[in-house]
Amino acid sequence: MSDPVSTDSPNDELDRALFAAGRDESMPSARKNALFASLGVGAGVAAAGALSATKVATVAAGTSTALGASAPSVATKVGVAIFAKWLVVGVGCVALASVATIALHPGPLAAPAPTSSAHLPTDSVGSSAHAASPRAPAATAAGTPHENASASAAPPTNAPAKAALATAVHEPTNAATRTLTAPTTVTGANAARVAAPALDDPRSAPEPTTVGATAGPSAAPTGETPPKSRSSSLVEELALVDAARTALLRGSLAEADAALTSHGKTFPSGLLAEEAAVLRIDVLSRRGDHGGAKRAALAFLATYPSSAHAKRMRSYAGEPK
Amino acid sequence: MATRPAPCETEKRFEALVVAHADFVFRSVRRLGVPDSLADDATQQVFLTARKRFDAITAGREKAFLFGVATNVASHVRRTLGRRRETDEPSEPLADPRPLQDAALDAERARVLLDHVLGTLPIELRAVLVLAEIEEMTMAEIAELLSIPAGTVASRLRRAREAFHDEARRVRARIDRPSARALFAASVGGPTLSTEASR
Repeated sequence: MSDPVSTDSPNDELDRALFAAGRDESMPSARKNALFASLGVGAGVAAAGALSATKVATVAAGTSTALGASAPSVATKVGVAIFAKWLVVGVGCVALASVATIALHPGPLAAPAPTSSAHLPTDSVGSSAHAASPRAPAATAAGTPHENASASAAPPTNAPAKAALATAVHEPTNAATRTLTAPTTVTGANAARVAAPALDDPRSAPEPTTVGATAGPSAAPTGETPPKSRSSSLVEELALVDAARTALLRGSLAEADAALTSHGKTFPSGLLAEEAAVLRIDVLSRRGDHGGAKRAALAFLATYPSSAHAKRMRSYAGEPK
Repeated sequence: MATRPAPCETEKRFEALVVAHADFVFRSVRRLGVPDSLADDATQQVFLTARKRFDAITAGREKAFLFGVATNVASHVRRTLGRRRETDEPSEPLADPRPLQDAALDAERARVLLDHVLGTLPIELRAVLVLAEIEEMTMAEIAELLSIPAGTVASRLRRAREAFHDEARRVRARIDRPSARALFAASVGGPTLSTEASR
């Protein structure tokens, strides 16, 4: 491994392995396409997609100047036309209504109308990314199945959120603030997307399940490597805990509770069991069930006496810190 | 930033910026503590800010600008998410004392560990370490990007590496089983981890 910094490079295998994992991560293509669409970068994406980049950004980094300089006006016009078309469709049909409903129901309910519209500009890229799937095996050994599944699964799931964003493209700040402060849709979509490759255990996460089911057949033919069940389990577990945490932050106690219940059923001795236990206690406390929170905190302290959360749990348990 | 280009030209340059740096921004917000579920929005937020303040981006310093915005966005997300957590010690995703069964430590999991360990570092150390190790920048580049003296970069980097190393080792002690290590090495393509490399 080359060392970019002259002194004191990490000499520990673990450190290096962790850094390497971080380096290898790139934005999954479906999500990147959604990002481009939401930023109105459709034309650029189409051009980059036409090059059938295995890594859009790698190629784009090299061609970005070309794109900027000789920017294909045809592509731009096409992009604008498509943009206008789906904007009209989206606005005409459900724009406001769907934004509102989607925020409440991140599930498949809201998918149909926005899907077709939001998906249009990126469709060709999505499929070309599929076609150009052979990748450097070392770099994406684990990332690939996940990405492939998400490439086919993400459009429908991401669509509602992104459609809402896309319609608001002309008010960028509002759109961004909204998504950041109200992560409902994104979290729902993400849970679905993350759960998609984890087909080994479709019981968990009621909403994602339907998506995972539809993703299965379409992901199977494209996937060159079968998903690693352990890895996808962890991803799925993370998604559940993540969903619970964001729900709790929003104050949706019922939603947080549902995610935690699902987590407990699916991963009774999961890697994130401690994290889930902490969140469960937070939910109890937020509900005002202080007795329950105290009992749970005491049980938690008995199980995880040296936890990083012990201090806070002791305060729930009413013990001195 | 010298002359204000035509709107159309600006739009093209913005597109080029997005296409060229999407991965960089995405990785940056992730490594700076934005969970995967919010990373898309954070990335989008960074670029929306870039578009709004496009005239303020000096040619050749796009990455510096984006990283600066990414740092702000990420810290906003961390604040929002972590009010609860930051008052305590950082979370410990692997504190489960039970054995890990045969969990495969693959790239996905390595990133979970990476983010956990990075999460224990103060942000200024974290930023330097991310730029050096994840983005593979030289110290001179980092100094330029963060507008801090090279000596500061060097000392922060040294402290960051030490802190990272200690925390990674602490975490590994919990999962230090031969099977896990072998799987880890196989999945990340490195040689088998030595039990005690340096200490």
